[in-house]
Amino acid sequence: MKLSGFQDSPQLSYPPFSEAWRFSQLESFFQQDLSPAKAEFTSASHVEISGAQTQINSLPQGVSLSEIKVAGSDFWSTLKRSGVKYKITITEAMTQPLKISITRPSTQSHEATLAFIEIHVLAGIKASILQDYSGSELGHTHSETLIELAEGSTLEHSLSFKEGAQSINTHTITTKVAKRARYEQTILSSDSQKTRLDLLTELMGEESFAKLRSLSLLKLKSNVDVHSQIIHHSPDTAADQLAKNLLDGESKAIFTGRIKIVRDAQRVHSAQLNRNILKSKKAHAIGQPQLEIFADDVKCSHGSTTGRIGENELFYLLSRGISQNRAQELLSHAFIQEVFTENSPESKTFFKQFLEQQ
Amino acid sequence: MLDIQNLTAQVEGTNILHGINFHVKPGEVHAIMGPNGSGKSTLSKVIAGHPSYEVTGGSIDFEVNRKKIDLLSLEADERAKEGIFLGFQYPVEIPGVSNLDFLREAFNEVCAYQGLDKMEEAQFMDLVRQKLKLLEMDEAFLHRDVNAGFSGGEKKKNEILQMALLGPRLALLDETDSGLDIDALRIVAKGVNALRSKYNAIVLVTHYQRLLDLIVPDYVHVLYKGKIIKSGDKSLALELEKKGYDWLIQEQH
Ligand SMILES: Nc1ncnc2c1ncn2[C@@H]1O[C@H](COP(=O)(O)OP(=O)(O)OP(=O)(O)O)[C@@H](O)[C@H]1O
Ligand SMILES: [Mg+2]
Repeated sequence: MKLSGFQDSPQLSYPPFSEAWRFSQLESFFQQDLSPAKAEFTSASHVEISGAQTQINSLPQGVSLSEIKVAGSDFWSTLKRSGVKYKITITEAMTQPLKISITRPSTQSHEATLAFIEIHVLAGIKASILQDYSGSELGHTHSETLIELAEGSTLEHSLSFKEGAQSINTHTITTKVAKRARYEQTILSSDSQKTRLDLLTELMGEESFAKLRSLSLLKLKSNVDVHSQIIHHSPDTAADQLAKNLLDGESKAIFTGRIKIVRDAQRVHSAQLNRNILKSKKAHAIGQPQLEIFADDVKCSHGSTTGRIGENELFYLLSRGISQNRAQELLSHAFIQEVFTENSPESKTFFKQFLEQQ
Repeated sequence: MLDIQNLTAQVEGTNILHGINFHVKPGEVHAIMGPNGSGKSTLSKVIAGHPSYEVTGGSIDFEVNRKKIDLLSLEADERAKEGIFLGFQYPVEIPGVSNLDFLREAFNEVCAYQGLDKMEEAQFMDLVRQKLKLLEMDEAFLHRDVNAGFSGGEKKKNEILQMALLGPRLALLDETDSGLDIDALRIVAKGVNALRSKYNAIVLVTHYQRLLDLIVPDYVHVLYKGKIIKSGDKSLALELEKKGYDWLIQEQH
């Protein structure tokens, strides 16, 4: 695979897809050459990344930004070194959320946007980031978001992916949560030919907490593959994950999750739940949550459910005179809303816009 | 109003109802009693149109305003719009849908079907508050999700709240009294009695006389193994309270 026209334009060897990629066979895709999508900046976001270019608009108070270098020579490091790379530091309480847009107005399948973002939230700071991905029908977006939350900080991280029905995308979000810090992630995604989301959440210090929410709303012949790992490195940490998929058409959703609790990380609470609703006969879901625990005093739960919209719920609404279609709508809506119930008003507005365009 | 002839029904391949004949006129209150598992809830759900229950024979006709309808040809929502209300033995929790939105959706659909103009929001809220008051329910229940986390008694009251708002022609109340404390029972009975008129009919499924002391039935029926084995007036319930079902079941054999 050759990259041309990016910041770094290397020749890349065949990507090393591990077992964790078994549901996303992208070898053949990554054998084609990639060039940047034409940059296009239209939104009013603070940071805009498109193709191989960036536009920084005025940043909210308490946010600083600098370009960074990426080391490493493996496939993924090389891919991200070629793209746009920024480090964002949140140094003060924010007056408004930081909005980051990653767009890809490509007209051909080999056009790409490559983005690498590091986010550091300093100790005790409360931050909110709205990160949206959009793209036209074709092309590829690869992004990596690396987050470090210092002691006692909080980040509400809202991400939406609307990248085009024929696009193929790979995204990684890696988060390290220090002592008493809190990470609240919500992800909403829609149709694409293939979207692979790699979520790695590491609870590094005591009383750190991560809440992960994701929802894919698929209607076409789409495929989303969420691969999540939550690692409890420290005792007295907690995590709560809910990964949902509402699947229509010929869509397919995969959730492979793992909760890992290292040796002697006691008094950990961790929950991982995958819930899928199939709205059509041809929709399909695979859910595989797993536990890997090396401590004894822990409370863990995990599970995966797949089904149609509940018959009893449906009948209850019908028995009150609500029509079949409307009842289906209400129950789908309820399934969707559960993901956002605890989000801030800004985050809710952000997702509401996304949902209204659906 | 309700005319059930020779009704047989099954669920998942098992026959549950074995030839029910049951007739209700406007203004009447009927009580259906019978041992656990005899088919009382099944009968209520079949009348309301639950899709899991398959009617294998017989007919259910429903007559309102001199218009006779073949209920079995209607979907559950259409039956509700025609004025059938089922108070569930086990009301369903619907997290993610607020009670108020649910009430509004149902109310609007039923009104629209009956050719009434859409009610202004303020007027609708007045109506809802009036019904809450009748049932001595706190307004906070409107803003919670439908039945989610409600106590057993609160769920039953919520059923009657829905009934009071929708004002059905025929209310089938499946064990609405079970799980209610003494005060709640009195309040629920008040809610049900408020619906009574010469145009409406009520079918109470119950195990206990204490409900029938408060909502006095015109007829009492005993359902056993999918058949009505005895019908009588309110004194039958008193007799059952004293003697149980055994003597009736013996008579069967
Ligand atoms: N979905 C189902 N699948 C299998 N059997 C069922 C189903 N629903 C009901 N039944 C059976 O049908 C019979 C009648 O049940 P039903 O709920 O109508 O009884 P009931 O008279 O309401 O009892 P109770 O007084 O305990 O409420 C029972 O034996 C029950 O197990
Ligand atoms: Mg019952």
